[in-house]
Amino acid sequence: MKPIETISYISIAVIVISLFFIGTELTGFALTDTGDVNVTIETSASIVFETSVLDLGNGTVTPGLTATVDSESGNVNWDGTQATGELILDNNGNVNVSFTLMSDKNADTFIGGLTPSFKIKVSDNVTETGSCGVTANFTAYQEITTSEQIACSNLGKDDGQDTVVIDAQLTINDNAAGSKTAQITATATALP
Amino acid sequence: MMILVAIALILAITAIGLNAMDSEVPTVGQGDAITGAAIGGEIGLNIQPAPVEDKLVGEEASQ
Repeated sequence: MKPIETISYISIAVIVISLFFIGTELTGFALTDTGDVNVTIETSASIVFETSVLDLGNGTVTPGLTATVDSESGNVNWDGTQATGELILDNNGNVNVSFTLMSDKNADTFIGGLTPSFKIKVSDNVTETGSCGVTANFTAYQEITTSEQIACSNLGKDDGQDTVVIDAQLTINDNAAGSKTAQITATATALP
Repeated sequence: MMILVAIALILAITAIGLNAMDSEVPTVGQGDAITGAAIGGEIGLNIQPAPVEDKLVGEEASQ
C-alpha cells in the first residue's frame, strides 16, 4: 500500500470518528416540525436575616435588684436605653421550611452574674400574619441554649407571609457587668 | 488527498473542542437545592456597673 493511500484511509477514519463524536444524522426537508422544551424548577430552601442585629441597650441594673431587659416591652429595674434594631428572619427560598434556633452562648456565658436567664420568643412579623403556619418552641419567652431547638415547623414561602420576628428577654443580676454579645444561628430545612 | 486530510483535521479539532466544552444543551436547570441553610443574627447589650455610693461625703458634711 502506497503512503498516499495510507494517509487517505487514515483521513477517512478520522473523519468518520470525528463525525461520530460531533453527531450526525440523516436530514431531510421538514414540512412541519415540533420541539419540546423541558424545564425543571428545583426547590431552594433559603432563609436570611432581613435585619440581624438586636441591641438591647446600655444601662445599669438597679443596685440590690434583678433587672429584666426586653426587646418588646418596658424594662424593669434597668436604668438605661431602650432596645434598638431587631431580628427579622425571612424565608427567601421557594419552598416552605422548618427552622431551628440556637445560640453560641447560654445565659451564664452570655450575661454572667447570679442566676441570669436568656430567653427568646418567635412570632409572626406584625405585617405578615400567618407566616409560621405550625409553631413549635418559643411561642412564649423560652430559654435559648447552645443546642438546636425547632422554632417553627412550617415557615411559609409566599411574600407577605414569610417573615418572623425574634424577640429577646434577659434577666440580669446587679453583679453582672460588661459588654455582652451572643450569636443566634437559624438553620432551615426544606419541607417536602 | 490534501483536501481529505484538511477535512479530517478540521473535523477532529471540532470534535475535540466540542467535547472539551461539554457543549450539550441542558434540558434540566441546575438549582441550588439547600436543605440546611445556617445563618446568624446578633444580640448584644452593655451592662454598666452601678455607681458606688460615697457614704463618707455625707458623714463629713454633718461633722
